[in-house]
Amino acid sequence: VKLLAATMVAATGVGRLLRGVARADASALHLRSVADGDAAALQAIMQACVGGEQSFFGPCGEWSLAWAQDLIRRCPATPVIVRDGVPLAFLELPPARPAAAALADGATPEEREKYALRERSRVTFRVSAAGIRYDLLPQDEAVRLFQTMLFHAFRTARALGFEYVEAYAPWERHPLMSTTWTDYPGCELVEPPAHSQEGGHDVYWLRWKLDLAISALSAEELIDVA
Amino acid sequence: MWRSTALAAGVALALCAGGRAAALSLTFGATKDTQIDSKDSTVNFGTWTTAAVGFTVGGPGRINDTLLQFDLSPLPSGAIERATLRMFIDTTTQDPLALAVTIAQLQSDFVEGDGTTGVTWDTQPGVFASPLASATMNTSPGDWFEVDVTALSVAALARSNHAQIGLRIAPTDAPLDASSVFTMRTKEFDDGEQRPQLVVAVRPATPAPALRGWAMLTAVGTLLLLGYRVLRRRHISA
Repeated sequence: VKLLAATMVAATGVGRLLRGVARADASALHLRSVADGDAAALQAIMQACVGGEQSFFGPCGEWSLAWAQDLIRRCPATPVIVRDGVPLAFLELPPARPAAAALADGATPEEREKYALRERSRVTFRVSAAGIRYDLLPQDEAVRLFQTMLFHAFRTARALGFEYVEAYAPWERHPLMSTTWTDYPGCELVEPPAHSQEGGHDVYWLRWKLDLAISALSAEELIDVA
Repeated sequence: MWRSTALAAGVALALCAGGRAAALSLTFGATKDTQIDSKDSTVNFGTWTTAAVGFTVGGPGRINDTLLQFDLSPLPSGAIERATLRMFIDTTTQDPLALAVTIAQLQSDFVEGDGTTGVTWDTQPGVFASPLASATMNTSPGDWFEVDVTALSVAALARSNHAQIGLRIAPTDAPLDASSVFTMRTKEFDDGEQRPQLVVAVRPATPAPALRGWAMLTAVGTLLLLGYRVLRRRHISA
C-alpha cells in the first residue's frame, strides 16, 4: 500500500517540459472501468511500480495474476486509464457500502455520535493498490499520469458516495514529488508517523477529503483523458 | 441510633445466613495496547489511538493483530465466574464484517513502544496454544465488541506470577478474498475511557469459619443490646 502514498502525490510541474508530448498522448487516452481481460495488464502495472529499488514506489512484494483477477471480480468499479486498448494506470476502488437507516429525530447525543462514527467508516475507502506503467513512460509524464489517475479515481469514488480516501504511505513525500502529502488542502495524518526499526519504510496513515483532493488535483497539470 | 444498630445486626445476620460472598464485577482497562503488521513488520505502532485486526488483500497482503495487556493484581482471590473482553469499535471495512477472530494468551511481556522502538510483527511474543477464545466480529463502529474469555483468563492467571495478562487478538482464517479489518480504540484515544477492557466477575474466597463465628456472635450480641435498650426505654417511659 505504498501505492496509497503515491495516491496523494503532488504535482511538481516537472512534466511541463514535455507538455507537448503529453498533449500528443492525450488523444489516445481514455477512462473506463476495469474489465475481465485486464488482469495481466494490472499485474504488469504493479510490477512496474514495485518491481525494484528504482520502481515508482519501491519494492513491495509479489503481485500475482490471481490477485489481479480477484481485484477485477471484487472491485468492478475500479477505474483504469487506457491507451490503444492497454491499461496504463489504475486505482483500486471498492464497492460502495449501503447507507444506514436514517437517524431518528429524537436521537440522543450518544446515538448521534455513534451514527456519525458509522457514517465516517462507511464513506471512507482505503486504497490497497494503484499504479502506472512506469516502465513505459518518461518520469515526468509518469508523475502527471499518476496525478491524472488519482483525479479521475477520486471523482469516481465521490460519485459512488465516498467522502474520504485513506492510505498507508511509506513517506511524507513521494521521492519524485516536491510536495508533502499533508501540504495539500484537506489531507491529514490520521495517526502519528510510525517508524521502522530496521531501516525499512515508515508508515504515514493519511486521510484526504475527496472534495478537497479533487479540487487540488484539478489545479495540477493533468493529462487530458477522454 | 437503634435503627442503625438494628441495621447492622440485620446485615450481620444476612452474612451468616447467606454463607457465600456476593460476586464482584471489576473492570480493568488495558495497560498496553498496540497493533502489529505483517507487511510493515519492523514498524512499531505504540502511539496510535486505534489498533487493527484483520486482513487487507493485495500483493503480499497485510495481516494485523492487536496485542493487549491487563494488570489484574487488584483482583481479590477467588473463583472467576466470568471474564469478558470488550473492545470499542472505531471502524470496519464491511457491514457486517463477519470476521472470525481468535484470542490467545501471550507467553511473555511486550514493550508497547513509542512509535520508534517497541514491539513489532517480527518481535511479537509467542502465544500459548490453549485455551483459546474465539468469536465472530460483527459489531458496528460505536459499539463494544465483547468476547467471553473466561477459560482463557482463568488459565492466564494460573500461569502468571504477577497477574499481568497479555492477549493477542488475531484473524482466525487464512486471508479472505476481500479486505476485512476492524479497528478498536486504544488507551491513547482521548481520555482512554474507550480503551479495551477486561470485565471480571469474581466470587471472593469464602470467609474463614472463625470469621463466620465472630459475625454470628456480633449479630446475637447486637440483638441482645437492642432488646435491652428497648426494654429500658419502656421502663423509663413507665
